[in-house]
Amino acid sequence: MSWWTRVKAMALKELKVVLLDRRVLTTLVISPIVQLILFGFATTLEVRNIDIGVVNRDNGVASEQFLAALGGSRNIRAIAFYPSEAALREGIEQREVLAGLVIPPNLSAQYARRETAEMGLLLDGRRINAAQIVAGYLADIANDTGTMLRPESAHPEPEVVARHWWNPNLEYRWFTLPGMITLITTVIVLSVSVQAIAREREFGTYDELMALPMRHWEILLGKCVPAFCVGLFNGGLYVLVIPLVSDVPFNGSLVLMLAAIASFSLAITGIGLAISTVSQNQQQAFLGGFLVIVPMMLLSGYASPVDGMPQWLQLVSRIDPLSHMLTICHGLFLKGLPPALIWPHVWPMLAVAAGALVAGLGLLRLRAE
Amino acid sequence: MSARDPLLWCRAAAIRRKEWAQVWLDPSTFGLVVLMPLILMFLFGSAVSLDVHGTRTGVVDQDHTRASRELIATLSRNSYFAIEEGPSVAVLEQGMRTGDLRGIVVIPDGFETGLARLQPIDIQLITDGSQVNTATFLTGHLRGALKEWVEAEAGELDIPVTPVLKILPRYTYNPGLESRYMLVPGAIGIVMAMIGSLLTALIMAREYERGTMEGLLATPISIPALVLSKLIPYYVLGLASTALCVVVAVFGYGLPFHGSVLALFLIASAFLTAVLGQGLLISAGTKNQFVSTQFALLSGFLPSLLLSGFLFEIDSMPTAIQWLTYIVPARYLIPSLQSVFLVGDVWELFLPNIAILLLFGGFFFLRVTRAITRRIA
Repeated sequence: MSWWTRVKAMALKELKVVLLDRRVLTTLVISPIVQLILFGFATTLEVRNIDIGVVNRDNGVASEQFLAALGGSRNIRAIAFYPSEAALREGIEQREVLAGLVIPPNLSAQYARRETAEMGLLLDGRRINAAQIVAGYLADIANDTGTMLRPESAHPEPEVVARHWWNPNLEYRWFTLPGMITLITTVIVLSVSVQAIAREREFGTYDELMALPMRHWEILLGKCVPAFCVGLFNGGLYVLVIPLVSDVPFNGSLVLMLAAIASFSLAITGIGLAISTVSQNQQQAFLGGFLVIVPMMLLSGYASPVDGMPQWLQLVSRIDPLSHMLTICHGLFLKGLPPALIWPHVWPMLAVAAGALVAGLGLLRLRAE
Repeated sequence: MSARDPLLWCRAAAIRRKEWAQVWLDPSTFGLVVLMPLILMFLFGSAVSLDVHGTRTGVVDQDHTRASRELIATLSRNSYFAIEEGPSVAVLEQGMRTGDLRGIVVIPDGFETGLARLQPIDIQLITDGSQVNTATFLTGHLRGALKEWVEAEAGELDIPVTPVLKILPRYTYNPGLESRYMLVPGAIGIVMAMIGSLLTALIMAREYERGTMEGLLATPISIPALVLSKLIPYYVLGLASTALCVVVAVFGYGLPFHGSVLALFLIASAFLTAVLGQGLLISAGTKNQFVSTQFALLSGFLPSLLLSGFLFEIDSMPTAIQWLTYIVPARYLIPSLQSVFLVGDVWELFLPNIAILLLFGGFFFLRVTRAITRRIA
C-alpha cells in the first residue's frame, strides 16, 4: 500500500466523522453565514443617532441659530433640554445623553459685541472614542453657524480636499465584510482542527490510531483534510456571498483569492493540529484554541490598526496569519492587487503552516515514545 | 425526595466537590481563568488602541516655497503623522498599494501666492479607503493641522481670524482622553462572558457525550440542586478571574476605581448568573461539545465583543441589529462596569441593569432545569 492510499483512506474517514453528523454540518454552514451578516453590518466605528443634552441660558439669536443647525444635523437623533447644569451632569452620568451643551446667558451679547461666543460641551469620557467624534461634529456645526451668522467673518482659507482611493464614499462595510472572511474562517477552521487528535484521546481511540500501520506524518496529513476543506469551502463561499448581499466590489483575481484562502486555511489547520497533539481531551483543545484565536484576532488589525500598536507588537503581528489574510482580503476585494503584491503576504502564511505542522509532528512523535 | 431531605446538602456538596476536582485537575481551566484574562488585559491595555499615531503619510511638494516647507515641517512635528516625502504621486502610489503608506498629501503649485493674495488653493489628500477608520482620522487630523498652521500663519500675513462661535469641549471621567479607560473595563466584561458561556458550554455536553449524564441524573438530588451544584464552582472561578482583572486594571494600567467593591461584586454576580445560565443551557441543549462551543462562541463570546457597545456604538448600528442587542446580556454589563471604574456608584444605572441580568439568569436556569427534566421523561 502506498502512502497516498493510506493518507486518502485516513482523510476520507476524518471527513466522514465531521460531515456525517447533521448537527455539526449545520453548525459549520449556518453559523458562519449568520456571523457574516450580523457582525459584518454591526461593526462600525462611525457615530450616528447621537442624543445630546442642552442647558440653554441664552435666548438670543446666536443660540437659536446654533440649536436649529444642531437639530438639522443628520448624525444627531434627539436634543433633550435640561433645567440646570447639575441635571445635565446627572443625565450624562446615567447615560441618557452622550454629550451636554451648556449655553451661557451672555452668548448672544458676546456675539453682538463681535467677540468669539463660547459654549461649553461636556462629554461622557466613558465612551471616549464616540465622544471625540461628537466633539468634532459640534465644532463643525459651530463653525458653519458662525459663517452663516456673519458671512463676512469667513475669510478665505485653504481647505483639505480628500479623495479616498478604492472606497470613494468611505463605506465602513467595505472594510468589515471582506475582513470578516478572515475572522470567521479562523474560528471555524481552528474549531475543527483542534479536535482532530484530542477527540481520539478523549474517546480512547488514540492508541488504535497510533497502532495503525501508518507513519506519523501520514496520520497528521490525513487529520488536516477536514479542517482544511471546511476553511476552503467557507472562505470561498463568502467570496461569492459578499458581492451578492452587499455593494462591496470584488476587483481582484478569484484564483488568487482561493489560493490565498487555501494557504491561510493550511496555516490555521496547522496551528490547530499542534494544539490538538498536546491536548488530553476536547475541552483542553477548545480552550487552548481559544487562547490562541483571541490574541491573533486582536493583533490582526481588524479591531484597531496595527500602526497604533507598540513597535514590538507590530513585529509579532507580522507572524500572525490573520494579519496577512486581512491585508490580502482588502487587497483583492478593493484594491485589485496583482500576484506580485499578494505573494509577500502568502509566503508568511505558508511558513507558519510549515512551522506549525512540523511542530505538531514533533509533538506527536514525542508523545508516542 | 423532599426539599427537607437532610442528605440533600450533602449530595449537592458532593457534586460541587466533583465539579471542583474536574476544574482543578484540568490545566486548561487554569489557562482560561488566569492566563486568558491576563492576555486579554494586556492586549486591550497595550495593543488595541483607538488613539492612532504615526500614520505613514506621503507628501508631494509641488510648490517649493517657504510656506509649503513650513507646512511640511509642522506636519512632521505632529506625532499623528510619519511623513515621507516623494517627488510625485506616481512614485508614492506603489506605497499606497502595498499598504506602506496610508495617505498622500499634495501641496499644489501656487500654494504660497494663493495664501498671500487671499485666494487660497486647496491641499489635496489621497487616502487608502480600504482602511476606513485610518482614512477618516487622517482626513480629520490633516484638516486640524492645516487650520492651526493657517491660524498661526495668519498673524504674519495680516489675515483676521476670530471665530464667531466656539465649542469648548471637556471630557468628564476621562480628562486625559485615554481609550484604555474605555477598553480595559470592557475587556473585563469579555473575560466574564468567556468564562461564563464558553467553559459552562462544555460541562453538560461533556457529561452527555461521555454518557455519564445518566449516572448524574440517577443521583438522588433534585434537578435544580444538580444545576446549582454544577454552576457554583464556575461562578466562583468567574469572580476570581474578575478580581484578578480588576487588580491588573488598577495597579497595572492605572485605571481609577471610583465605585465600591460591593457594587462591582453585585454587577459581576448578576452578569455571571446570566452567562453561566446561558452556557449551561447551550450545553444541555446541544449535548455535543463541538456544537456547544460553536454555539457559545456565536451567541456568547462574539456578541459580547461586538454587540455590547464596548467597541462599537450600539446607537450607530442598523435598527434591526440594535433590537437584537437587547438580548445580549453584555449590553447590560458594559455601562455599569465602565461607570464603577470611572464614575462611582451610579445606582440609578446599576439597579435596572442588575435586575435585567438576574431575569436573564432566572429564565436560563428554568430552561436548563426543564431541558434536563424532559430528557428523563
